[in-house]
Amino acid sequence: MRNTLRLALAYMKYYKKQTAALFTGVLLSAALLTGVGSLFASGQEAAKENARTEYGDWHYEMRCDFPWFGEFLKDIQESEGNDGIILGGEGFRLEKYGVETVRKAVSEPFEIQYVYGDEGYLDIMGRELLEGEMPVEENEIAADAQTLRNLGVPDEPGSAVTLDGEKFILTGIVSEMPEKLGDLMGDYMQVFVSPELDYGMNGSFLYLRFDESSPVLVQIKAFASAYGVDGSTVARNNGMAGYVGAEEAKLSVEQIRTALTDPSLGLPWIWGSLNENEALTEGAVLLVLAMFAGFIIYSIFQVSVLRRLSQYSVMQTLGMTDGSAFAMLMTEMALIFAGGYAAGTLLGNGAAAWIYGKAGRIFITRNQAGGNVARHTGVSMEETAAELSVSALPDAGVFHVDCRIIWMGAVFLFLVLALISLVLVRRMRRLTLREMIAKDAAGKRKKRKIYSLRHENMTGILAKKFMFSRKGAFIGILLSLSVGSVIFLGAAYVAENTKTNNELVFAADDGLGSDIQVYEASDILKDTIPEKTAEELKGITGLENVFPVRYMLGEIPLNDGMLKGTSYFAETAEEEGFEPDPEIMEKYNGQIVQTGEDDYRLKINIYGYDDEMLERLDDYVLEGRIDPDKMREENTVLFKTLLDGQGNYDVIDISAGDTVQLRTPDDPEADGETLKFLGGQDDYRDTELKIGALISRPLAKVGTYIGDDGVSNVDIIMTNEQMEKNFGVTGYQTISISLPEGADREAAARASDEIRSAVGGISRCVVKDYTAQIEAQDLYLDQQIMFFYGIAAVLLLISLLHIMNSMQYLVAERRYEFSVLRAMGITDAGFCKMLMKEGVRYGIYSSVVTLAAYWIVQEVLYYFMVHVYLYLHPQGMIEAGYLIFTAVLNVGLCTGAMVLSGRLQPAQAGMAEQA
Amino acid sequence: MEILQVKQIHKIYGEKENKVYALRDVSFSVEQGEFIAIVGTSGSGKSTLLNLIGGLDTPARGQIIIRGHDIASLKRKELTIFRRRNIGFVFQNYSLMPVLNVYDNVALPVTFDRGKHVDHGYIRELLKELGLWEKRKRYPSELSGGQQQRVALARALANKPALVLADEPTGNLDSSTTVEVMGLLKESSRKYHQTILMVTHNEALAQACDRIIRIEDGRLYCAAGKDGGWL
Repeated sequence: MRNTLRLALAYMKYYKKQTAALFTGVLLSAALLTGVGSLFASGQEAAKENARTEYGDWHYEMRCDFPWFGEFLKDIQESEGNDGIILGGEGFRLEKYGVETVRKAVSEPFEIQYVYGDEGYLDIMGRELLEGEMPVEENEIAADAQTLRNLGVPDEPGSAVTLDGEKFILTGIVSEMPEKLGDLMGDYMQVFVSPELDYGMNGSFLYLRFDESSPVLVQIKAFASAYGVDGSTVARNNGMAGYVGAEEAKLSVEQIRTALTDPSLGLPWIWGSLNENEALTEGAVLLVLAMFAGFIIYSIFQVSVLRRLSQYSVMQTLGMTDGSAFAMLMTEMALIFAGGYAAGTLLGNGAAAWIYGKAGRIFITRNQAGGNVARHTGVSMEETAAELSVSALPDAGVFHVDCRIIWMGAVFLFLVLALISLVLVRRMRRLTLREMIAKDAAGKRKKRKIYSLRHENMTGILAKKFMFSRKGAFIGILLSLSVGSVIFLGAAYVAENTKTNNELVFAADDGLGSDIQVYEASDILKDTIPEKTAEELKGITGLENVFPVRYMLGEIPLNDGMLKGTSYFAETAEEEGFEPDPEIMEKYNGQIVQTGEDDYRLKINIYGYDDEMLERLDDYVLEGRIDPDKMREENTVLFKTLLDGQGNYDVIDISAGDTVQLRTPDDPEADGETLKFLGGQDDYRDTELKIGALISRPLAKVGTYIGDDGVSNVDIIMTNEQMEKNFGVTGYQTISISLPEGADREAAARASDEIRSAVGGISRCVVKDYTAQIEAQDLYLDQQIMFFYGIAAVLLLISLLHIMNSMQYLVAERRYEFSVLRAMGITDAGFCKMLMKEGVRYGIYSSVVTLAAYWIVQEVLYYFMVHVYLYLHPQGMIEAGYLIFTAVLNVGLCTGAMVLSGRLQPAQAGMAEQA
Repeated sequence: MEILQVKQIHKIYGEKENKVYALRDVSFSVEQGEFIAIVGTSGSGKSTLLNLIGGLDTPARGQIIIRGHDIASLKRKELTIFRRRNIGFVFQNYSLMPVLNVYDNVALPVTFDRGKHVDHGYIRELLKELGLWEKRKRYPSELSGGQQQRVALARALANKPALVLADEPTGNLDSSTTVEVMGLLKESSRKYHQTILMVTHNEALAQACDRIIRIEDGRLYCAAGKDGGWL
């Protein structure tokens, strides 16, 4: 062992350049892998903490007015507790619990629950007493400011509150309930009452928070089993579930098999099912990085070993066994790896901490709670836009070093090292055999052409012949040269499409496509912004664009199986947990109604845009074309269709050129029952409209009726003139206003003041300035793209190191031949030219291999972008500039590396060896 | 006509306490058409001398004049061109390009001179003379050691150099092939009036040369004529 170590150290010392190259390769690979891993982990951690704030710090909740609860409380009291664990049982470790007792629930004037919560409950839900005291007497309550505002009660302790005919005194103001708890529990308000108040109809609920270092699902099962809790009464905190292992194994083998054979499910469904909080995507990225790191280390080390193969063969001749050779290689690699990996981890995490501090938000996943979230109606645009905006993302929080990826990466790469050593030892053995075979096979078919008869310049021929003399090595080098380029191109392709997708998505989201929004926060059709006001707005100086939008609610028939995806809508899906929105059901009789076996009637949003907005929709056209003049002339419309979960626009069987029967209220200011589309024929008008183009997204939207998130609703879009002609709509529901490029916040504030004064007298008209959100959005997108390019640049740097190393090997391998050539009188320029020719050839061939390999990678990425990530209009092909850049860079790098490597070879080196 | 003059050559490797005197004050001259053997024990400095004459290495002191040119005064590029036009090399391990066939190996140094047309007639004559014409399309790995050394000799002669420097050209060959190669060297010297300097440690081979230059510990001990007289 000591000998092995001594020999390994001696080799490392002697071959300083190779050691340095390998060390740098390991260092950069480790830095990239662990740095990116920590960035992802930090993003996940921030998202988890945000979910904790938004949904409450609990994992499971259950009814607890059962005998087992007494036993549980007894255990808690008897438990000593340590390290934050208040109760440890077989298979579970409880950190927190809280009990909420609902004393009473009323539905007027709002859904309100009278609740007594113990300290644990208040802590879990983050409800702090901000002012006053918690209720003690029966006639005392505490509530949050928002609830008090809704009830019209001043948020001052001592105020009188009347609820359900009972009089209470407000004793304290508490902080608001977790923002998204309503998504899980249903929307209601809470008032806190004293434990003394009892109507005799209590319902008690126990909230549990387990130790998150192990999956909480296993723990709740153990808990339920320990106390005999009926599992069907246990509810999960879906907001937190994805972060703490609260979900059942997503897919069984059988489910995967079914999904793969069912075209409506397929890979996108499997990926989507497994990709909780983007964990699978991040895992895939890390796996690619780890494999790249492994490949680079292999490639650099094999070059290093090949250069001293003759010495190993001498040692083997002297009696060194394969086992000893393996031990020596492994020791050498392990020594370099230990230093390189540790330094790389420090470097990578240091850089990652800096990046996270500057742009941490780009690592936070946006999809928060899982499950089917019903659509909401009556949501103001302000809320919708805020929800969608980057400002809604939580703070990045603190940077977390991901220890898991550090040790997993180390284990993975160490195993790769062991494999490399094994492969190299086997190759040594095989090489010796091959050399023997080569001698026997002297008659192997070779080209017998005499080149000097036709070529006066033999250096080019020589370069070519050298390259192809060992085809296996040649192909290996080409492959290894192209790996870095392929990953770079893949990263650039994804970055470009992500940028385009983000821009299109955010341009389509109300408020983010325009700096200032003026809109009616109302779901009454007669509430509109008059045309005169819109004209006034257009007259305000300093505004770049003013886009007024008309609105009408309509209904279209989807007969004879036109609706392909019946599971798309809650009303027709018949899926447990995917219930129709009660408000939409109540106000509009649901989004869709079934009228026959394959016949449905679907509620849709109808928008009137002006010409410039219609032209901007060009980026979203799926089929057909947009021509506002033709639309007016022929009364054609645009149909915003639906996208299924696999990225196909085939939920509705409709194409450009088809006609659609549109039903709208006869009265443009209709309300109430008419909007349910259940009235008599006289209440409606039917219009047959030809579809000029299918589009993937609308621009300005109105979300206050049946809702419109830009994705899951059908919209019909026409010109504002058509809206008036077809339906008699003259007022506007929303006006999107944009400021000139580079306008500052002061200008925006001035403009919004003027706009506010213009719309001052209009009922329910709201002006919202999104300048700050757009600024944050732009910064976010820039940072995201910079990160992609940063990763691509590091990959390129590692590739550069690898190319230099490979080229040096190529030159060093032919060192003697080159020195003979020099002795024979080849000039420096001639020698350099020969190397350049070889470098250029390597560059060209590796570019060809890169393009071929990249084409396959691009197909896979395109599939994922379209069918899994549902990107808007991704480009099927990367911009030619990137391909040209990569090819030129490849040729340049190979040529440069070859010439540089040649310069490092002294002219007389080979001859000196001879002497 | 004197084709080579070596004047008071010194060559030192290493520095300070590691200093090794490879050659000390070596002087001699060579007439055109002479076939000279440089003999000495291993490490005596004979290959160093050959490398200095061939311009592959530079002396610490002294002058080497070939065809009236002091090679130390030539710039790097001039020296390279001068070398390929005036000096041919034959190495112990043949040093052929493994990826080129016999013909292309021989023609290779001629192609380094841009604008200079390869004299295919001369190469054919050389190959026929050396018994390689039938094997012109073979690759080095398909030839015996003797055949490879003949290719190396043909390559050295392809540019019609003033001087052929052969470093242990028979060192890797068996005795019968050694005799064959020596015969070819002598024949070339005679036929093309070629000056040849051959390094060898084989006294018997040296005796077949026109003159013997003997080196020991970096010093020129004597330069004996083929009749054995000291020059």
